[in-house]
Amino acid sequence: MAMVTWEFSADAAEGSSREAFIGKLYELAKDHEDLVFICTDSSPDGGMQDKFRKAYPDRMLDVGIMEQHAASMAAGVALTGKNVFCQAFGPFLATRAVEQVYIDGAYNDSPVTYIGTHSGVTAAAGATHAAIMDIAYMRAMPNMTIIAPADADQICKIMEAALSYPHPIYVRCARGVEPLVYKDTDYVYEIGKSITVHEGTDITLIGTGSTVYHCVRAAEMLAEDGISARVIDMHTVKPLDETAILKAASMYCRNRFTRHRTGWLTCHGSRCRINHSSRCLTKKSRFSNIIVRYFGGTQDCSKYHNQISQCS
Amino acid sequence: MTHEKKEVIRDLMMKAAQARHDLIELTYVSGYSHLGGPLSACDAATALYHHFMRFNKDMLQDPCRDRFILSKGHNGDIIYCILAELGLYPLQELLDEYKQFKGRWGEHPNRQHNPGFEISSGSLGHGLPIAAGMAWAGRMDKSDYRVFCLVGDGELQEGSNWEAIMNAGHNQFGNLIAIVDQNKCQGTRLVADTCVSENMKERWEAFGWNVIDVADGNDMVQVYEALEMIPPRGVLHAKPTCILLHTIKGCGIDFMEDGQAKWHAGGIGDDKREYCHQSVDKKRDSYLKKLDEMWGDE
Repeated sequence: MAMVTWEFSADAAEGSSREAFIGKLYELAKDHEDLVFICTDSSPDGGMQDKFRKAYPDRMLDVGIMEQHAASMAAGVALTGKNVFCQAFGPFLATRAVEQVYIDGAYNDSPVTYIGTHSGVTAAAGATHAAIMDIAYMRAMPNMTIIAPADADQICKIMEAALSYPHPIYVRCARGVEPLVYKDTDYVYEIGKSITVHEGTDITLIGTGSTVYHCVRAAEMLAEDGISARVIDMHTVKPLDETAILKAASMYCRNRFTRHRTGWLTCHGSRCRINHSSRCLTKKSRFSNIIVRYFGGTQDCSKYHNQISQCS
Repeated sequence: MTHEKKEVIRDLMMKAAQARHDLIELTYVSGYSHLGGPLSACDAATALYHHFMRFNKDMLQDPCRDRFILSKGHNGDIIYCILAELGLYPLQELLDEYKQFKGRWGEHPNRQHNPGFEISSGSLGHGLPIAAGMAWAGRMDKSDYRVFCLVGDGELQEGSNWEAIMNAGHNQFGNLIAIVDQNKCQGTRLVADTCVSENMKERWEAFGWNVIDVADGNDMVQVYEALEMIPPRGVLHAKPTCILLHTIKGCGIDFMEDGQAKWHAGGIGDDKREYCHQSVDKKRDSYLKKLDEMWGDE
């Protein structure tokens, strides 16, 4: 479990994971000739995808509005040994094309890195454009690794780690601009190993994706009340860093354990609850189970109230 | 046609008949298997594996190998038999393990357990887009391998095929060859009774494919000649090729050649086993005799 010291600050810088990942791919493509990029009607003129296409026209294909085809085709390319990154809107990649991702990516164990944008309600584009079931679907698939970057800098580290990863990955990416969690990006990132963003002795908050920032802010508020909160960035939802959770659950004297969910459907949090927290909780009955409920990764969730109502 | 080609065709017919014999045994031993589609696709698959594809049983991971993508995964059993004949494993191992607990071979192929398979398949409509991806990768590498994808005519009801057909036609994957086993029957009914199936040639052509229409896809001469017409190796920017094989579901076992869907899958018991073998031999001998008459006494 990596450790990063996070200093509280209300003035976090911002970044777009959706922009950052393609910028990173563009950078990586220079030294990795086997890097291939597939997207689905998401390469407007002048954008980063367009820049990628112009620089590497043979290694990028915008297949158009064909998420199913993109997901399968990416698997076909990956099975020839190439490093394939396949981007689509999360709800369409992880629900419309879920069988293609499952059969051709996961079941075939094709090492494709699928990037689903519009995680949670970060798109604010209506219920159809909210990836709210993606983690639940992906988590049930064999061989599939699920990662949600905490911020735009972390997704760049994920892209690097994905290059040598031998199995399919689903990267859950926010649509818009999100606060940067890490001021110092010089930390070691490893798939499957959570990061303790902030140490605490009374309570642990676990976030994934853009909700990590909110955990940090919550810890900041708790500090004002004299409560010392540890914050864990559980960027990899599957395989889950069980060691970190069990360690956090067992080391406090006051034994409070907090669960943090990324959406109102049971996703990451449900796994914690069912498989891990419950184990911890039953071990020590004094645990107080506090649920922090968040709906996405934006600073002001209230403006998405309408969308949340639609989805619910 | 040269003497050598005639000999190759005769040999392929013998091998196709052997694959059918093996399939009969596999079905007899296991009690139940897919039959109709495997028998209709048998001749094209035999021609590919035994002659047209760059395939070396000792170099299954050769980057330059031709890829055979079995999109109609329920035809895995006939491919298992062909690969056994090619020497990837003893036929007896297949007979012993097919559909057995902890056996390597199931009713639908798994690439991690079944030697010689490029993909795990079963759910329909997945092979063509995967094959398109491999064809694109071959073009990126400027490699001259070909990608063959076997699909069924009932399978073409899956919309994902048409995404792949559109995309491959648009991107001109000249190294991609789709082979459609048009046996006119699907799982439970006739294709024509289920969904409009006319003008298949025009449909593929409309999406930018070159179509080779084969009147009898169970006639090894016609299959051979069609496979000779695909673009030369190394043609990477050209229309992809679709070979439309008009086949007979259950071809080779006369009572299954009734044009109905009921022999999609089933069992062969003691009462039918010997008759099925005799039927395969009878058909093979009849074809060979026809060739002798056509080509003269050489």
